[in-house]
Amino acid sequence: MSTVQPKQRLLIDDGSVPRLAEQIKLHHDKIREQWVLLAPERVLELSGPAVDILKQCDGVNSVAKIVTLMCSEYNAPKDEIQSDLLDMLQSLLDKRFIQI
Amino acid sequence: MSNVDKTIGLPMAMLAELTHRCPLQCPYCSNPLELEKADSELNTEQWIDVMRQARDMGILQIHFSGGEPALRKDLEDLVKAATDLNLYSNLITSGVNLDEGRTQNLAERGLAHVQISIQDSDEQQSNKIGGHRNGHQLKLAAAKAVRKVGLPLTINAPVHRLNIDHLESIIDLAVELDAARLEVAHVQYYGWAYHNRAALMPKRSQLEWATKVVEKAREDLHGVLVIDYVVPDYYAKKPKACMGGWARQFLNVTPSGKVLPCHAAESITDLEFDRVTEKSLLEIWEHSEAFEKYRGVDWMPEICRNCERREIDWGGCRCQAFAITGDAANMDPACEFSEHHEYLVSLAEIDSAKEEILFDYRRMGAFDKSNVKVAGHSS
Repeated sequence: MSTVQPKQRLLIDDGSVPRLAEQIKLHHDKIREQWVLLAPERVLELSGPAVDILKQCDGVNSVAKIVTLMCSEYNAPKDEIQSDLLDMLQSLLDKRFIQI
Repeated sequence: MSNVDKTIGLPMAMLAELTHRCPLQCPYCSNPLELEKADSELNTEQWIDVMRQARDMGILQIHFSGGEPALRKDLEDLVKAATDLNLYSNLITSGVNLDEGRTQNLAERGLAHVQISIQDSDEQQSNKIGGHRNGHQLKLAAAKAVRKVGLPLTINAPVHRLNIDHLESIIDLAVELDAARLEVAHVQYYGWAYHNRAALMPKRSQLEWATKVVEKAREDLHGVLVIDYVVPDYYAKKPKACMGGWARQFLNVTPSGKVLPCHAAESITDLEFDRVTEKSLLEIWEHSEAFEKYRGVDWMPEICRNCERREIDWGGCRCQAFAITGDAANMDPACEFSEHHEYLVSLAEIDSAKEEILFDYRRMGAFDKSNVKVAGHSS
């Protein structure tokens, strides 16, 4: 059974638990040697950090947890990671690639 | 897989036109004027073989289209085969033949997404445009079935003079149907739409109003509904990047197995197309004359080759260049730098000012006896 689409814009925050939206697939394409996000009538080519972040969007990890994971993965300050990550996830949420 | 030539770009998606049969008769149909007959259609095994070849050359998504793909009794088998091949599958449908049981079966076989066209928000006008007595209600039921079984839904709304004034309620309808995406697509004038242009072309003022409606809806519905907007070339200043560039990302297979760089390419009557029944899909992608002819930038007129947008719009649309100037190698007349640009704009202005309300329905074999026109009232 499906999740009804939100009737107003949802805002992501530290406590949100993101997961890929219905029928959005994270896929490694062997021919292109490239990670892609497969979505309705869209293919998004993904770069390094985006892949790592999306792999953690599993419906269990909170945004705060993903930030912590990425801080240790990329050895970068939390403030920087948190703000970039929230921007990226909000944009993916607005485009319906993820849901919370 | 290793012998795929990556230098010319890998195709991303394949449009599989399973049949040209359709329960609707929309006067702007993107199928060619000469529709392919049922007895020429590829069979199940042939389609599965084409999909396997597509997967092996880098294609990631398959769009099952038509005509009406749900008229194929083997649609479930084809969706299952696509899933087994790891292809992301999309059904582009009128919705008229998609009841809940069928939708459930397709979802169980791995269908990833459904796009349903609507002709108007007004039932009577919708049925008139589509030429189907009860089409609108069947579409609404199909859209509900799609959401009920958990598939994401896109509503595709071709807009033109007969429905453009209803755009706001069309957007409302998409939200009501729980769509995640809406395509507001101004009709592109090739084939049937070119033939019926006088009845379909909106006035410039209608286009400007529609653009404002879309911009406002995008703001109001940010995070609720993604709206894709296809602008009409005739009133544009810059051409669209048709197909993301000729033979660069997409290919289209017709019901009988002809392979085209875009679904309208057969309107370029001096091009020859190869068939999957005669050559491999990879060989066609890489070496078919029709694909090679306008691929990249070398074929371009000098002004395009020297333009900073050459790899943004890829020279625009070959079909439009052919339809308006008689030579597909000319600049797309939608470009303001084309010597034919003013002529293109004048065609739109003249057509949209006409009181013309008659159009021909898209019908198999009907084109050659097209005296019978239908009156669609302009709202």
